[in-house]
Amino acid sequence: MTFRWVLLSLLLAPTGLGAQTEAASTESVRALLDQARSLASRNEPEAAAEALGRAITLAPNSEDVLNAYARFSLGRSNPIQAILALEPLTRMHPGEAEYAYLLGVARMQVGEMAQAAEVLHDAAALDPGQALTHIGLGLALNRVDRFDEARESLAAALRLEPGNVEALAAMSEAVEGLGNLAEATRLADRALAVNPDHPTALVTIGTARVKEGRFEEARKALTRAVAVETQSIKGHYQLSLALARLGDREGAERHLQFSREAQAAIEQHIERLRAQPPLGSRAEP
Amino acid sequence: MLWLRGSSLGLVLVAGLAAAQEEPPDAAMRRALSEAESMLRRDEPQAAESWYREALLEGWLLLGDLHRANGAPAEAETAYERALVSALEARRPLLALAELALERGDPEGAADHLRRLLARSSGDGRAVRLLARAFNASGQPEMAVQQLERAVESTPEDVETRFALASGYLRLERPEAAEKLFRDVAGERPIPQTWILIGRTYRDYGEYAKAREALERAIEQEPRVPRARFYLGTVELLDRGRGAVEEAIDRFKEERRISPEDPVNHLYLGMVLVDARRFEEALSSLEIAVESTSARPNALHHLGRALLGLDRPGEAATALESAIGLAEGGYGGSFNANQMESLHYQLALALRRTGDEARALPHFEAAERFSVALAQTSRDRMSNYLDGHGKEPSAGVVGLSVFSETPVSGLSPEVRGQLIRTARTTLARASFNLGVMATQARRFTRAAGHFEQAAWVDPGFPRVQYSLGVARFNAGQFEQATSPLSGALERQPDDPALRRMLALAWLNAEVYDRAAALLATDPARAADRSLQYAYGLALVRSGRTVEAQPIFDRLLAEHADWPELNVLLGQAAAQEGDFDAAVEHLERAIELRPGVAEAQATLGNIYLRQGRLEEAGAALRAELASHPADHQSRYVLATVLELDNRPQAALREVELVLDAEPDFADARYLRGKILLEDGRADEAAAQLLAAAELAPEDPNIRNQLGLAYQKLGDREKAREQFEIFRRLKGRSDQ
Repeated sequence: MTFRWVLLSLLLAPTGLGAQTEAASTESVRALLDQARSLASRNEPEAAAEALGRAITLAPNSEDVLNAYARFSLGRSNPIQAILALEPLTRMHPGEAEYAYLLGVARMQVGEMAQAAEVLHDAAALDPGQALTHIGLGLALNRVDRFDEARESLAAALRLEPGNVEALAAMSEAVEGLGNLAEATRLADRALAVNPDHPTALVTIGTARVKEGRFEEARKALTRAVAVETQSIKGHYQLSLALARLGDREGAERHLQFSREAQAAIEQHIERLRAQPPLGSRAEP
Repeated sequence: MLWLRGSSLGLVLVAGLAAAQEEPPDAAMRRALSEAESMLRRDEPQAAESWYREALLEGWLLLGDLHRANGAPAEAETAYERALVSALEARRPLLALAELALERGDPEGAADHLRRLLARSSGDGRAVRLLARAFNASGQPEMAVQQLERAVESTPEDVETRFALASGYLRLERPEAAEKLFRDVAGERPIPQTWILIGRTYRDYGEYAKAREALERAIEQEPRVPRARFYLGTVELLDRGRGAVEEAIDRFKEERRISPEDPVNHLYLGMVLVDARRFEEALSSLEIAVESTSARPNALHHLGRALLGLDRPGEAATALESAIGLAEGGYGGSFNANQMESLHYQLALALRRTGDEARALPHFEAAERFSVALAQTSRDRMSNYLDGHGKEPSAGVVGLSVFSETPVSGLSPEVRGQLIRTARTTLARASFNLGVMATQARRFTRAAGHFEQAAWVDPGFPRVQYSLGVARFNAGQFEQATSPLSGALERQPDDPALRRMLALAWLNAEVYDRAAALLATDPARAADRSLQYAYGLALVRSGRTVEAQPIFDRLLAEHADWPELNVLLGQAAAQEGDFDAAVEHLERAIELRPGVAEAQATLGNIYLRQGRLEEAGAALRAELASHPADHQSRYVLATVLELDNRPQAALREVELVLDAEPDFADARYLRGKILLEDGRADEAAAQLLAAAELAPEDPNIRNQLGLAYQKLGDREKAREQFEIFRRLKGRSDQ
C-alpha cells in the first residue's frame, strides 16, 4: 500500500531570477514547436522542418525540441536525422526507455544492427513490459547472428504477447540460426498462418529448406520473400544459393548482386551518418 | 606562452589567441546562465532548459579544466563525464576526456573516447590527431599514421593533421615523406612559428641538423621570435651532451632577453646551470620556474639540487619533498624513473645533512628501488634532461604535457580557486532550476536527478536537500527520500509538513518504527483520517498491534465504509492468525470497492496458508486483474499453481515476474524448481545458480541446486551444495 502525497506546493520557484540581462533572441521556441506541429498536421512537412530547424538553432539542448525533431524525422523516414537528435537525447536522459527504443529503431533502419541492439537492450532493461522493444532487440540480434540472445529477447516478447506475429517470425529466424530447423519451420508456419506474406517467416522457411537440400521449395518461399521485402539481404542471398543449386546461374548471380547492393546501401547509410555534422555542432575554437 | 601548448596545437592557437585572451574562462558559463534566466522570465521553458544545460556543459568543462590544472585528474574526469551528459554537444567533453586519459598514461581509454566521437564525426581533425597520439602512446605508430593518412586524404586543407602526419612519418623513419609535408605546411603558413614547430619536431626525432636549419630559418625571418633560441639550446644538449652546456646556457640566456617571463626557458637555464655547478646563478631562474604550474615539479627538483649545492639542506629538503609530493599526486607522469631516483637520492642527502638520518633512510631505499628499475636504461644524466624527446614528441623532460595547457592553466591558484567556487555555484543553480522545472512538469525522477546533482556540487545550496527529498518522495523513491528529508528536518525541525513527509517516506520504505515515532506526535493526526490510518498501519507493521487497536476502533466507528481501512484490518487480523475476522474485513473491503489494492492478494495468501489452492488462485488472479504490476501477487500465484500440480501455468507466471524483476530470488528459485521437475536440469541449474547468487543464505535454493547438479551427474558440485544446505539449515534451525 503506497502513500504518495504530491507536495508540489512545497517546492520553490526557480532561484535567481533577479538581475538578469535580456536575451538577444526574440523568437519563441515554444511558438516554433507549436507552428511545426500545426504545419505537420496540415501536411506541410518542408515548412514544419524549417520551423523545427529554427527551434534547434535556438534551443539545441531542449528535450522537447530534440524529441520533436527526432519524431518528425522518423515520421519522414529520415532515420539519419532522427539519430542525430536521439543520440544526444539518450545520453542526456539515460533513464528514458522510449528514447533508447526510438534510437534502436532508427539505427536498425540505417543498418547499424549491433549498435541498435546495444540501445534496445538498455530500453528493455528500463521498461521490460514492452513487447515491441524485445522484438526489436531480437531482430537486431538476429541480424548480427547472436541467435542465442535473440531467442531470449523474443521469448520475453512472446510471454508478453503470445500470438505476436512479428515475434513469432523473428523467433523462427533465431531458432533456424541455432540449427533447429523443425522448430523454426513450426514457428514460421504459425507466423504465416496469420500473415501469409510475412517476409521474415518466408526467409526462415527458405533458409531451412536450403539447409535441408529442398531447393525448389526454398526457391518458392524465398522468391515470395524478396517480392515483399525487396531489400532483404538474407533473402536475396539465400535465394541465390537455392538458384545456384537448381542450376539457374544467371538468377543466382542476379540475386547475389541484389544482396550485395542491399548491403552496400546500408553501408552508404552509415557513411552518410558518419559524415553528418552533429546537430548544433560548433566550429573548432 | 603560446608555444608552451605543444607543437601541433600551436598552429590553430595562433589564430585563436586574440579571442581567447579577450574572454574570461567563465564567460560562456555565465552568459548561458544569464540567458537561461532571461528565458524563464519570458516563459520560454524549452529555451530556458537549453540554456541551463549549456551552463552545465560550460560549467563542468571549466571545472574539469580547473581540476586538471590543479593536478586532480580523478575530479577532472568526473567533471568531464558530467559535461558529457549535460547537453547536446559531446565533442568537447570527449576530447577533454581523451586528453586527460592520455595525460594519465591511459592511451586505450583515450582511444575509446575518440572512437566514440569519430563514429559520428569521422572528419574531426583534432580527434584524429589525438587518436594518432593514443596509438603512438600504446606503441602502434603504424596505426597512427594510417589514421592520419586517411584524415589527410579526406580533409587535405587541414594543416594541423598534415603536420601530425609528417611527425608520424618521422617516427616511422620516413624523413623524405615528412620533409615534403613540412615544406608544404611552411609554404602555406609562411611564419617563423611554423619553422620553430618543424625544428622542434625534427629535434624530437633526433634529426638535429635539420632541426638547427629550421630554427635558424625562423630567426632569419624574425630575429626576435620567441622560443627559437630555446629550442636551439635543447638541440645542442641533445646532440652533444655535456660538451654543449656552455653553448646551451648562452642560448637560454639569449632567449631570456626575448621572453623574460618564459618559465620553461627559466627551468632549462636553471637546470643546466645547476649541472654546471653554478648554483647561485641558477636560483633566480628556478624560482621563476617554480611559479608555473606546469614547470613546478621539475623546477622544485632542480631548486632542491641548487640549494643542496649551496649547503642549504633544510630549504633543499622542503623543495624536494614538495616535488615528490607532486610526483606522487595526480601527475606521476611528470617524472621518469631516473628523475625519481634523483629526487629521492637528493632528498636523502639533504635530510642526512640536516642530521635527520631516520627520515633520510627511506629515501635512500626508494632511490635504490628506482635505481634497480633503471638498470637497463641509459644513465647519461644529460640526456635525461630531454628524456622522452628522442622518439616521443612529448615534453616529458620538464614535466610538461602538451595537453596540460588549458584556458585556466596560466592562472594563479587563487584565481583558480575563485573560479572553482563560481563554477560550483553556477552548476548548483542551473541544476536546481532544472529540477524545479522538472517538478513543475511533474517529472519527479528527473527532478530528483537534477537536485541530486545540485546537492553533490554544492551541498550548502539553499533548500537543495529539502527539494531533493520532496522530489524523491513524489517519484516514489521513498527509501532514498529519507536521507535528504532527514537532513532538511534537522535544519527545520518545526516544519510539520516536512516531518509528516518524512514519516510517510519511512512508512513506504517499510521502516515502520521510524514512521510510527514521527506520526505519534503529529498534531494533525486527530483530524486527518489518512494520517490516523498511516499511524495505525505503522504500529501494526512494527508489531504494536495492541496499541493500534484503539486507533482502528475509532477509525472503524467513524469510517466503517472505508475500503483501505478494512483491508488493513483484515491484514492485521491475518497477522494475528484470526483468519475468519480477516476474511470478513477483506470481503467487506471488496464489496465496498472491488478493485481495492491488496484485498484479494491478502485473501489469496490466507487461502494458500489454509491449503485452499483453487480459491487462492482465483483471489490472486482477481488481484492481478486490477493490479497487473503486482509482481509479488503473481509470484504467489505461480507458487499456488505449482502446488496445484500445474507446472506449465506456474512457469508462465513466474517468467512474467522475472521479465519485470530479474533479481527476484524466490521467483528464480521457483522457476529452477519447476524446470528441474520437468527434467530440464541444465536450465534449472542456471536458474538456481542465479538464485543462489541473489540469496546466498537461502538453504532451499542450495538444496535444489544440489539436486540439479546430481541430475546432471556432477557429484562434486552437488556435494558442495548439499554441504552448504546443511550448514545453512542448521543455522536457521537454531
